[in-house]
Amino acid sequence: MRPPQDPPRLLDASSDAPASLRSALEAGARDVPSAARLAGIAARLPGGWAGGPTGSGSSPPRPPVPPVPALPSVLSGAAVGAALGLAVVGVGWLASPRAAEPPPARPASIAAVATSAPEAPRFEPAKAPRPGAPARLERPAPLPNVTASAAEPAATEPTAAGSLEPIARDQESESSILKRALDALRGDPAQALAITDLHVARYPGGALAQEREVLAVSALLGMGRRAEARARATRFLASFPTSVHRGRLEVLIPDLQSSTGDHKDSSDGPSTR
Amino acid sequence: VTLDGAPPIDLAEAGVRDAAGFARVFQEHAPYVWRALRRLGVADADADDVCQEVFIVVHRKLATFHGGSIRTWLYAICIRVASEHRRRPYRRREQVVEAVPEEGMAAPQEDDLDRRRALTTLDRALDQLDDDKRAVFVLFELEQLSMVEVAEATGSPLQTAYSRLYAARKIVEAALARAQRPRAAPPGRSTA
Repeated sequence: MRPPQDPPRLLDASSDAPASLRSALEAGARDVPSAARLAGIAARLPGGWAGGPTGSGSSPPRPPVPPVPALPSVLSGAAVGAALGLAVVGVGWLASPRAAEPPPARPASIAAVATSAPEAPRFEPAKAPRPGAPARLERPAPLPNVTASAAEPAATEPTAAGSLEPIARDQESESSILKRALDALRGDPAQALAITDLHVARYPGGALAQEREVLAVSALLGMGRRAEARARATRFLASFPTSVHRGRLEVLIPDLQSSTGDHKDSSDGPSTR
Repeated sequence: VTLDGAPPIDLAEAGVRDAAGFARVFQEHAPYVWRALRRLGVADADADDVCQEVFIVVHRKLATFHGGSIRTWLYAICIRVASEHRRRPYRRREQVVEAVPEEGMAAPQEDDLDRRRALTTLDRALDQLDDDKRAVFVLFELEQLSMVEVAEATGSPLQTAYSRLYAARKIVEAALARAQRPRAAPPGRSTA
């Protein structure tokens, strides 16, 4: 026996729900966590969301929990292999632009994952940085230690990059970088933007690219660079028209809707089914 | 299609790649899990912790997931974890003011204020529902599951799920109507 057909949802256009109920439900559908909150949750998950700063020779061994790799759907296959290798083997090797090279040794099962994981489209804020080349960043001045870290192996030498020095460690995870950006955003949006630039360079197709972009837009707004913020948000929404962060960006930049088209319906809920 | 345009996870293969599967499940579903938890009665101040609990369960059980709808499975976990959370004596009852940078960087917008008011209204109306009706209402009306999926996630017969949905709608509509009604003047206050 076929199940009865579902009734129209109260949010459907065909529903005769009162306006107050509809607006309340719309608000509920648009209530998604901020990028920072998601990053914070991810960072606390078992095994460390994106590998985390682990596994150098002096680091304590990881607890015996199943490995949790970096999010593979937005990493290239090789980078997935690197990230998974990091999580499983416990070496401090992160998926940076130089991760195009396959990791030297990894379990066969991990290799299978890496080669079979589908590749998702990458978001490129401006122009994708290439391995070994200075990243073309939103800000006019690229971070010197970003370039250096992309060209050198697991550099842990101190640099003279001032306040940015602590963030330029090769072993820093995506979530850790973005948490730094979040912390900086509260008092120093320029620093926050610089850290998001670092994330662009380090994880051009990173799992938290969407969250990074929201932070970057916030930082630009905090610096008073509204036009740039708007342009960056527009590019973001062009790449991710159904992003759950759309609502947040529209709050930050109220006139964003007019330039990107109205995607409310697609962003309000999991209409991606 | 998922949040970032990636193909949906094929959990039929999760048994052989559950680590990768877990990461993708988080990426694709965490915002919706968080949202569902909020509407299932988890306070904003607790939502991150409870969302983390859900994914810890997912992490532990993903390898045992064998086909079907991953969202239905996730929401079933949400319902259970949210229910356990609400029964805890030590859950936070006060709203903690959190520093949300995106909001802090922009001046409050009228639209945002309206949205917050609407959200508060919705949550108050949902608070009128018992757990079973609330779960059905939230999953169908907000999370857009089919009723078959709702029944599966809530572990109830389909007809029961329908009954709960219709009952929940009446209660929510009545609660909103009450909220819209102008308040009567306090007793003893003269309008003259």
